Amino acid sequence: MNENILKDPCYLNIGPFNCQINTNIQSVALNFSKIYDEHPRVDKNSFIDFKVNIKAPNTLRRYIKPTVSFLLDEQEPFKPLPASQGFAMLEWGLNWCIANHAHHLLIFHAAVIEKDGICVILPAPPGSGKSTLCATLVLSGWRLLSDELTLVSLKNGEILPVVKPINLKNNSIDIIKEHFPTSVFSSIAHDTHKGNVALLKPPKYSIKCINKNAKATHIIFPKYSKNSTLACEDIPSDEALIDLIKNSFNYHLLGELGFNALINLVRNTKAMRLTYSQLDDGINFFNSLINEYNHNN
Amino acid sequence: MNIITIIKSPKLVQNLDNKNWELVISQAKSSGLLGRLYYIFKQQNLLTYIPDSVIWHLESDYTISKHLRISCRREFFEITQALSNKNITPIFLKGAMYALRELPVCFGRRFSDIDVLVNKTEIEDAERELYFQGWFPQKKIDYDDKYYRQWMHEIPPLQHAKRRTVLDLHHNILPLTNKNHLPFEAFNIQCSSVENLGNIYSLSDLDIVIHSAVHLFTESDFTNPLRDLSDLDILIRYYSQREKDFVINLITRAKELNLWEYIRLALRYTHLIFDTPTGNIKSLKLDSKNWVQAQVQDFCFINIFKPNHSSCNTWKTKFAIFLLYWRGHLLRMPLRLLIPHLTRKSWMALKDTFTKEKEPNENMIP
Repeated sequence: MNENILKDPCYLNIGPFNCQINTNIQSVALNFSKIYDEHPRVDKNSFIDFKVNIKAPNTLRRYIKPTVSFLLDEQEPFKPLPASQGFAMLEWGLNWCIANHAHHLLIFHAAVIEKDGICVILPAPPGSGKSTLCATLVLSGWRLLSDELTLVSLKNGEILPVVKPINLKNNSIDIIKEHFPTSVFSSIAHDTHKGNVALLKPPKYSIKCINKNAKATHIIFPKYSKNSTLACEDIPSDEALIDLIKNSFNYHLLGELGFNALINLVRNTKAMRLTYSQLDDGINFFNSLINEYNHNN
Repeated sequence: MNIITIIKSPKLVQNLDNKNWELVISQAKSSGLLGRLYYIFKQQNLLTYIPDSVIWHLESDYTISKHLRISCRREFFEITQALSNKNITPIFLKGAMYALRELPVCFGRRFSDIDVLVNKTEIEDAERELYFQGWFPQKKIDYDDKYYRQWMHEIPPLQHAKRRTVLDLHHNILPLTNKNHLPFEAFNIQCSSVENLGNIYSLSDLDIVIHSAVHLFTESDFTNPLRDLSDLDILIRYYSQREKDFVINLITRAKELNLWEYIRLALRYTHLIFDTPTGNIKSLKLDSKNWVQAQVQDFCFINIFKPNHSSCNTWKTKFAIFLLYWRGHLLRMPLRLLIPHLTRKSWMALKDTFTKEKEPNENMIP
């Protein structure tokens, strides 16, 4: 790819949104081309939803304890971060853009994956191991719709993919690199608020299906628990409903439309809690859902 | 391309290309007018001309303003209930009042605080009753507290401990230190009956417009100047449609309250920027008597009543902001009080940059 976002902006499509990405930082540009080289591009005259810039200041701060800033349009919504976190800041920033603006969608803090007609939403607060589980599944044949943001259409209840790299922390980075040696990672950002962070490039197939919506069939709340055996428990709809609301970014803003979308989502899915410690057990469990679905349909 | 042109002639949206739409959305967002644009297009049946890829930006902002409007109703009940314990009837002002009464100006409009007016004699009781219901002063700094209570027309903001709503409790519409300061009894109050909410007390129609004008034209830190002027445009148009002589009555009332200058500025600039119908301009003598003052005012205000965007900002904007900063402060406080006040504030701000601990970016990191 001849693109160089240090010189010219990149007009990127990530599913439901077109983004214009700019930076004046070498490491951000390098990571960007490594992770996003297979993502679709749009014509520069297309309508751009988010104009984003990762910038190092043009002052001494560029060299002394260097920082980076995230800009959306001309506004800087957050405080600067250390320069080594530049690419991670781009990812977090884009997630923030979507979660804070896209109120034509019901948005959950959850991963969502799909395979052979089974579409699973994995809501989980930080520390539940969701991202590691999601990365494992996605590198084992499941399609990634999103790692952080589940987008539900208020019109028809479909899940809209927003395919972006998967955010992994600390030990998870090594675990995934070991299990999947061909996986592609950004450079590691050290000493972030959450420790070491790296971004995993989504597989080609996930990127290829970037505009293919899905209908959710399962809502699974994962919980990593060291040395535990795999355990799965059905949960009643009302409990699933409350827990989904707790994991929503914008349910409280959407009034009746949000309520209806949420009710329909819960009515049309099976909700479960999953406790696990071995990733292989996790993969087998999810694959078994496909067998069960095929058997019943 | 400028959103002011679009507001004046919404039908222009029929011919906008992608890059023009980007500019419109961007200017509207930074000027706090995105939701209002959606409302204007909706009212004029122009939504079908807006591409799907664009419309969600407008609709989302409108959704947020709708959420604020609905949430405000709960606050209305909580606040009136708390104050009724001491037989205090709150008078609702500005954004929250527009939303509760569903005046056209409220649709697509965001507001961050709830503004309520009570008599100064009732302030202590009001503060206490609200405190019992969980409304606490926000981050109390002794100097700020003193500034508010001694000189201003409102006490320091209160915040609900659980719901995080911010409440500004006013006892006047002008600070005590403003030379045009008026007693609470000078204002006219009206009572409107709203379905499912009951009786809502607010200023009279004329006083609502005067309050909005006074608030805008005594500002020193203009956060949303174009939005605020647009509010005045919509209010004047709305009331003029219901009452033929509204503008004339507005001028009479303003002169009665000795607040004519603020209305003069409001009428002049709404007309200049938004073509607000303000009757026969010449007969109303809207220009300032002092030619030099008029030129400076025009320079400042014409440059501030623009979209807050790089496509519109020039060196003139920065200079206008500087001049208006001083103008606003001087209007609120005489020089002998202002200089020590600003010196104190600068020193406190300087101290904070060295001693205040940096907070992590909690909003951002997953």
